[in-house]
Amino acid sequence: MPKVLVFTAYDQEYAIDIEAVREIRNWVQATPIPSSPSFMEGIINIRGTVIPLIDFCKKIKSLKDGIEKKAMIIIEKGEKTVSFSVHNVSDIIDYDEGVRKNLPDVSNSDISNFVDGILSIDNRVIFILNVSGLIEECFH
Amino acid sequence: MNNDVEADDLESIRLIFFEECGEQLSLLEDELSSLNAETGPGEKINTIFRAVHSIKGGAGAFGMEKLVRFSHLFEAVLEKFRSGECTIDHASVATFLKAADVLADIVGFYRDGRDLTVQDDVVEELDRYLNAPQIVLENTDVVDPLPEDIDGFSFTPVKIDFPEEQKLHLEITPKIGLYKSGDDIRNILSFLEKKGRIEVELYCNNVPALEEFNINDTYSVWNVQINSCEDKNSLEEVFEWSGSNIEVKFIDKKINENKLEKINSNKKEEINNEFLKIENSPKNLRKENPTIRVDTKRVDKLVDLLSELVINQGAIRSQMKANDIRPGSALDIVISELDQLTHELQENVMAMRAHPIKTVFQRMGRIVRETSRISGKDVTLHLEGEDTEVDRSILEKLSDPLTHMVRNAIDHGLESEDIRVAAGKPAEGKVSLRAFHRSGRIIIEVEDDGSGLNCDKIYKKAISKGIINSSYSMEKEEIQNLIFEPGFSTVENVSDLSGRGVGMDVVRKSISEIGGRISILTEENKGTLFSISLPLTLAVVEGLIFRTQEQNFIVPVSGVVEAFLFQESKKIQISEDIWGYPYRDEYIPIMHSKKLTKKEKKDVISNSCLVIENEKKEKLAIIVDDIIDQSRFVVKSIEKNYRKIPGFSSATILGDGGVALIVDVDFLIESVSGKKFVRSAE
Repeated sequence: MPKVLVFTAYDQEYAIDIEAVREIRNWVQATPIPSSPSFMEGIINIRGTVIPLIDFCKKIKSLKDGIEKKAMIIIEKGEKTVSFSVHNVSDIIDYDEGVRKNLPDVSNSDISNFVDGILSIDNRVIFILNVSGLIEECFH
Repeated sequence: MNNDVEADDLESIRLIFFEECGEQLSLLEDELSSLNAETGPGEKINTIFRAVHSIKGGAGAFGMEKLVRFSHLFEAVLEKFRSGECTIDHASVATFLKAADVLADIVGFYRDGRDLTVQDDVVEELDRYLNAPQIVLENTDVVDPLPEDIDGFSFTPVKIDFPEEQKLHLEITPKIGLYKSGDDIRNILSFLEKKGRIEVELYCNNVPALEEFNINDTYSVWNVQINSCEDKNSLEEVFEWSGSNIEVKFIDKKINENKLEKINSNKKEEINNEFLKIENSPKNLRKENPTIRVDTKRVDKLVDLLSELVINQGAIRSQMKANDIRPGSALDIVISELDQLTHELQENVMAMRAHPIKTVFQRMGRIVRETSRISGKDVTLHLEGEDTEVDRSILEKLSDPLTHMVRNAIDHGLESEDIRVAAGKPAEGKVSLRAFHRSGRIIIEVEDDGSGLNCDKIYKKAISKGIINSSYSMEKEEIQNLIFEPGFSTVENVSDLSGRGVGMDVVRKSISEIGGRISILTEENKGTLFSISLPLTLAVVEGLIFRTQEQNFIVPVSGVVEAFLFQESKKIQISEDIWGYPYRDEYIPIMHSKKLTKKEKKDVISNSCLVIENEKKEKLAIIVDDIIDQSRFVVKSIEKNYRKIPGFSSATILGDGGVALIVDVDFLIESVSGKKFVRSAE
């Protein structure tokens, strides 16, 4: 059964493959980078390595004022290590492939580039993120 | 599972074999290039033979048939020379060199799966020696092979074909007038440095006790040893300016040596220096240093850990500041000592990663041979400072740009033989590669004695390629730098050699990626000199930290000329968004560092200003809120996990764990002054 880490942003839950998550940390102020998109918080130091920090909330909805950020999820994908700031990390769940539904056809929205499907467990609706798609989307 | 382990073991043995092959090949190249007709056989040929033989042995064990077959042939030919059956001449040395290249190709084929084009001509050439008629035998009596070796030495004079460097010793005694006229011995020494490598020793035994000290007397004597290609007269010019304010004695080496090295007068060395040039001895001495083979990953790990240590020290420093521990306190002194130790440790670890640049230079020997064969131009390659040590990480990235530059020098730089002769130059072209240290950086020069850069041609071509607008008039130097523009080198001038789609823009890019800068010096009909200036290491940078809009930035000290107080009233507007500021006797562009931040916050009164300068001596003033400190910063790559950020070369981690960006001096200056290089139509 696939295991995912669940976190929230704008009261919506998102899930990310646990294999890709390296660690979860308290949010820190990043060093801003000039002429970068607004969702790029900047770069941070994780034990001597410089990695980019992306404001996940701003990435999905670019509202003027972001919501409170409590946590950073550090993700390792391929050669790169990146981090996302989120509102909160809630839990780790196992799910059955069967409960996973496809996203409705919204292919003209860029959300389809990084959301693989929807999990509905109990009363919760969780978006499953595609890590590589998300990183690709943020860096290009 | 067991099989896996065995396969791994075999793989690692294979790797060791290839590593050894690499060493043997470079030894081969080394010995071959110093082998020439005058030496006769002797120890060199034995070394060469052994190198080929050990490659053959290993290849046999791994079943690399092609390698075995070729090295066997090569070995058989060498045997003929070793036994004195054949004698060494220019043609045979050339054949050997070609054979060594083929050998390297075959090794490359097995190691990296590189393409292998069979060099039948080389095989044929070797075969010819093998089947050489026995007439050559007569020579055996004449060329008496030297006794195999005497403790590894063969006392054979070797002709060295680059201009002889001579060692001169000077004793410089500045007179009081020198100081009164505002001059400084340092100026003189730096002039001398331009003439060659210098070693300076201050002889200060004459300095009296304080009560006997006479301010109108000078007491210091400077002993300078200079290795220079220039003669005494040209060195004397340096001192002409100071006239009688300085006393200079050229000292006979022997006397000087007695004086300075009474204890260490080594008999053998004297023989070397005075009577014969024995090429072998320094080499053999070096070989005696025992070495161990260490996985480079371990050394890299050590470097990483040291970087952490440096960051940690920054943290201690900032904690001390926060806790109001004053400089000079007992804790401060202990920490300073720790700083010193760390610094030393770091230098030593860095030295472990350093390799002589020889490994790259040697490869150029082959490039020159290939290029000269294809282009039909006779070229000699001339190397200097091969022992200059360069950090391994830099070295690895030097090979490609240098290869390209050497090819360019031969293909585009050097004229064809008839033009050279008509211009009164020797028919044979010369390409020089030099490496040396200068003020904390490594300088690598690629020079040819060809036609030099033709500014008219470059200018016209740049216009036709749309790199510049025809309405611009440009300085000579600016025109020369156009060759570094992307799109300058194009399909039109594709020859077999250069122009393989890599232009000088790629060269400049790869040099700047390793923190280097490149500049051109060219003279029509005399030749072109490309000078690359590289940092000693990529791991640490000496930098100034400044603050603007509540964000810290680092600028490398190597790029900073001066810091001064900024006066708003002196600023002049040049065009819409370009401002100028008087500096010395010129106006230089000025920008506010808030442009480096993501968004501008409240306006703070900024009254500090930094002047930065690139290799081309173009300057730019940057207004900053505050200049905080000068320190050593560990360089951290941003691209590794993100991408290149324009305007910044890399980042560093500060004592508080935060990240600061390191400013890319070249980029900033170009973005302001180089505006006209921007493509006009797009």
